[in-house]
Amino acid sequence: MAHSHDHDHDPGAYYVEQLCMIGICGALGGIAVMLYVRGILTLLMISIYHVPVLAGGALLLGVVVLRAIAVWFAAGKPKAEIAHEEAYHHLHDLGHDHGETCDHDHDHDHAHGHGHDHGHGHGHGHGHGDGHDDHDHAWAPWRYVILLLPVVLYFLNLPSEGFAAIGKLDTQVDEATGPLRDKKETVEAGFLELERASYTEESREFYEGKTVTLEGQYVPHTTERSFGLTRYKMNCCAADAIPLSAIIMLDPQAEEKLPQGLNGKWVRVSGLVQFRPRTDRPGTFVTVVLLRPTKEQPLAEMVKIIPQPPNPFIN
Amino acid sequence: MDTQAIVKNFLLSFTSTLYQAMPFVVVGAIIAGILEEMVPQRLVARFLPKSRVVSILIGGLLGLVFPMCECGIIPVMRRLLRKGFPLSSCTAYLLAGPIINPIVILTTLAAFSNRTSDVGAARDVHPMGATLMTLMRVGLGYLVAVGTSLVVEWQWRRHGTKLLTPLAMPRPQDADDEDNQPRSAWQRLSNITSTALHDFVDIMVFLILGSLMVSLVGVFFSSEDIAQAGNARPLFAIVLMMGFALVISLCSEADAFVAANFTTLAPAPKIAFLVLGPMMDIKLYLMYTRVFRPRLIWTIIGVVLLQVLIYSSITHYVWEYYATTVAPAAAVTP
Repeated sequence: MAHSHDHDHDPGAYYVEQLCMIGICGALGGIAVMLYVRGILTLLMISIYHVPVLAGGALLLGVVVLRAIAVWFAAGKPKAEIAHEEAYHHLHDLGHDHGETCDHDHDHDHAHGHGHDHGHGHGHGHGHGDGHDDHDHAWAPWRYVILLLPVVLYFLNLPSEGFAAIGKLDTQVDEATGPLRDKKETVEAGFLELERASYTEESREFYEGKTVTLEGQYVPHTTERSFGLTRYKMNCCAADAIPLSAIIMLDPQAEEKLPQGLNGKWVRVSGLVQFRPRTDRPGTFVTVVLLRPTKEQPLAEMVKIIPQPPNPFIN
Repeated sequence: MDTQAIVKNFLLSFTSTLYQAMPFVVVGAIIAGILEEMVPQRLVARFLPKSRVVSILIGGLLGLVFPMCECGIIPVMRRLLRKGFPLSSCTAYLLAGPIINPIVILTTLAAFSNRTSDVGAARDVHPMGATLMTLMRVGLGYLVAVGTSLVVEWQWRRHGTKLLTPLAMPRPQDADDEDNQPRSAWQRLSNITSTALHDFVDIMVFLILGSLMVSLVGVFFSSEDIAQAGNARPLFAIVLMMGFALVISLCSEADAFVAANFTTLAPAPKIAFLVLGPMMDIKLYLMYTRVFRPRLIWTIIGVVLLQVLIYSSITHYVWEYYATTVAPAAAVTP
């Protein structure tokens, strides 16, 4: 069952393929390592996956180095040995359609030059080689375009920040302030704790009237005297991130107005925790952070623009 | 400004999907290379159980011993097929492996176990405890995988290798003689790296394409839309969540956290999401095309979808009956 195919392939095509493969895999492995080194992985996934990505990248680089050495030596091999290697690998290829496009017109000049020389030196129709088993569209240029996409993005320094909060918060809240409580104490709580605090009577009682500080992105809300603060919670990777939001309201008695033009900006807000009935889902409560500016503490102190935190996500 | 933000969000989502899956593909490709080079075909034949049904049943549990996620499993499976493993038991491993493995079982438990505080948010559904949720996921996943593999076995007997792409086809017996020729360690290493890089590149192309599509979908859909649409009608919610699983294409380690966030949904739609997601979605469809011919892919899709729909509907009715009639207390302390 020896192979019987004699196509008019570019003799250097085998080496071109090998070098392209080495190049692209090396680039992807290197990028994985660099994403770890530069700390960009924090934007992409939770910390337990950082080391696996680094290890995966390093492993890939290791394989690439071995492959490069192998190709280097194979290029200098006597003809008979290559023929043997090729025969071995072609036994793996049984059943594939050789007729299909194996069009090796890549523009990889460096690679091509190298491979081409050796191919001619052997005077050997060496179009197919190891590792290149399925020929149906295997090395068409469109694949390289796709494979290069993450590489190009990396060099464009994308992504370099967390999600931009877009859209609008439309939770309907009872606008009546109700009895105002100020326990004169602060509480450490994030978006998730505050959201869950609204669920039960006990937790509402615990949080109500305490001062809380939140950092998130500004999004518009239904009224002019309120806005939303959004921060994404990542469970595993950024693709599964879910926006968590809090409603920030200005005390109706306050004479000041909320600053405008903050859409999408990162802000730090501190105010009193309140729970108000939701008008769009009767029987449930929603957490509100109430801003009550005083002479000692004006509104500008309570809503401050900040740079994006090093970890824009909640893990 | 807004368009720029959307594009940036899309790219972030794409990059994170890609690089999170990449290490698993690297490992999968290296295992594929080692399998290809080091495992003689004769050895495989000796270890296979005689009964095909038994080998399907074992295939479905293989993930417990060799945990692989759904991206890494594809190159491995393709090489297993070449070594002469039966298609049906490989399918069982492919479908069940990403669910029935220690890592995914633990993350599913973790995702649902701290959810008791959410009960107050949705009073009209009967939440299921983390243990039962995980058991249902594993149990139904196994059932669907075995059922589908039986259909695949039947198809295999009718159509044979026409179901597979060239690279996944079993090699003829005499190829093994070639295998047995002595090769130097360096030659073997060279062959392993060659296969590994080839498989890595081959799968990466489709992983990139899949991640692009998935992230594009993510720009337009949010889980909140689904939750709102599915709240009132549980059976419709099952279909909705199945559709969501198909388009959102999350890793099986991550999807339980997303499902657990649907606090207002009944348990059955979440189970449908958790069972279907690791078996079939846009990203996986593209990667499956590297192993299976369209006829087989569509057979698998059809059988999997139908089973998930039926099993989760039954689960829904049984659970509702149990929660409202048999044990009303179950709603409080599941």
